[in-house]
Amino acid sequence: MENSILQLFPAQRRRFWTEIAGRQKDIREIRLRVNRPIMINCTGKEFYVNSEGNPTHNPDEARSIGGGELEELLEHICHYSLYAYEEELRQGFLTVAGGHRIGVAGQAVMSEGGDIRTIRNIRFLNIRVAHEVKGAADRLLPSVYDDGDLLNTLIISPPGCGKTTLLRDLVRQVSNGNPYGRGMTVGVADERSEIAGAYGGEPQNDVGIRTDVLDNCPKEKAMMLLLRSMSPEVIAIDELGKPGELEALRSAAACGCRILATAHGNGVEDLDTRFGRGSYKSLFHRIVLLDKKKGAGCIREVLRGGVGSAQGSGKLYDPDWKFGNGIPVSK
Amino acid sequence: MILIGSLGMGFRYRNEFTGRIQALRMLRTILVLLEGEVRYGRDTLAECCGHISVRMKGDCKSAFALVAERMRQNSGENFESIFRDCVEPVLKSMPLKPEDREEFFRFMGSYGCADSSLQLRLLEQSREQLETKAGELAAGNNERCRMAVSLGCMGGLLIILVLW
Repeated sequence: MENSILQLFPAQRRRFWTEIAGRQKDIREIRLRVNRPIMINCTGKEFYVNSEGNPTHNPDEARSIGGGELEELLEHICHYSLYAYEEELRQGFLTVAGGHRIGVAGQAVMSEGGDIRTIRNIRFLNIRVAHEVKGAADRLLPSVYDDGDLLNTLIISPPGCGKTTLLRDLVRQVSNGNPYGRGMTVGVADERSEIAGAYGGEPQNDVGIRTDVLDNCPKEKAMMLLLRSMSPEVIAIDELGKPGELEALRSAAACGCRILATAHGNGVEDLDTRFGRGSYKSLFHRIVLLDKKKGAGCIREVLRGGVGSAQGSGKLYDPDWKFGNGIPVSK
Repeated sequence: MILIGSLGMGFRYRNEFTGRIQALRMLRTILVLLEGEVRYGRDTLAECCGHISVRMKGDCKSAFALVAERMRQNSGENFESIFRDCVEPVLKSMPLKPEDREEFFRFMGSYGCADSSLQLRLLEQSREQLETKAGELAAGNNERCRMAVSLGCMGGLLIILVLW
């Protein structure tokens, strides 16, 4: 894991990237655009890289990346077998060793049916560095258990508030067992490899000892497949977005599975608009709302059955926090 | 002694002719296996090498396993240089001509194909070329082999007569 950023680059470029890769812990994103300065997002702050490979805040010193260099990097990332990543390229991102995600953009090639066939002339890469935050769900755990029983939980937040990080740690703790409940078999339908960060089918993130991951498969199909094949006690999905996925979750719940899910949105109103007012609320016992008002990864409130008022907030990841102090659940 | 030596030369050439055909057929088999892995497994070329090494024997098995292992180590070297580094010495030990080896290595020239059908086409092209070559050689091979042994034998007799 330590050098997983450096390993993304071919041998002849590693010297240049050594200094930046050394900051892997803090780096959030590396943005590479052809003939534009290399930009690094490091814990919310942005800087450039000079020709020596050192960080700089002066745009005049910033080094740009050429088209050939970007293609060379992409070929290396794809192990010189771009065809093997055809499906991922079509979706616009690749997951690599270490669980990092490489977003790509260029010219889309459309099929006759109007779908994206592939992306050619890739000129933009966004290396999103994976960060596992073990303990992120500590504060939430007491709220999602009722007398040892895990409750169906939906995490709602705008992008970048840490909902996937929270879900990942929740999955890990539910799977391993925690002070509030026994370890349970978890099936993760990981369509975009965001939860487990699977590379070659093997999770790169710790998702627990009782977790089975079905990677790169549409969520609706993945949930049904997991139900049939792995008999999970809990089903976890990231980014619930389509009514069909909600129906699949409902079927899973009807089979006795517990549900852990996340969805994009600023609040329950956004989900009301997407799924119809209250159509999802009967499924979930707890709805967790996150926001960035007190910094990334803050729990704004936890709603019971989706109905309630704002109460209880706190930093999602707090190293000083101890078990036993859950977030009050709104009625 | 002279007769045995010249006969030996004849047999050596006969084996070389037959050996080249066998080696070309082996390269063809490797390409067929690679095609299968690309078509049905959508594996990377390095993973394909690892998988097909299991189904091979001798030096080729270890060479392909080494390619997969070196790619797994991710030292930053590109596939072509690793593949050539590991596989070329094995191919050089076979009765193949340089053009046969280059034909085999041709599929690596465009590993940047974003389309699997294009990558497969490259593999097929190399395979077809090798098949054609092997077919041409096999067609006249019996005559060539007989001629090599006969020439060896007659050459030996000629030398004996001259020395007599």
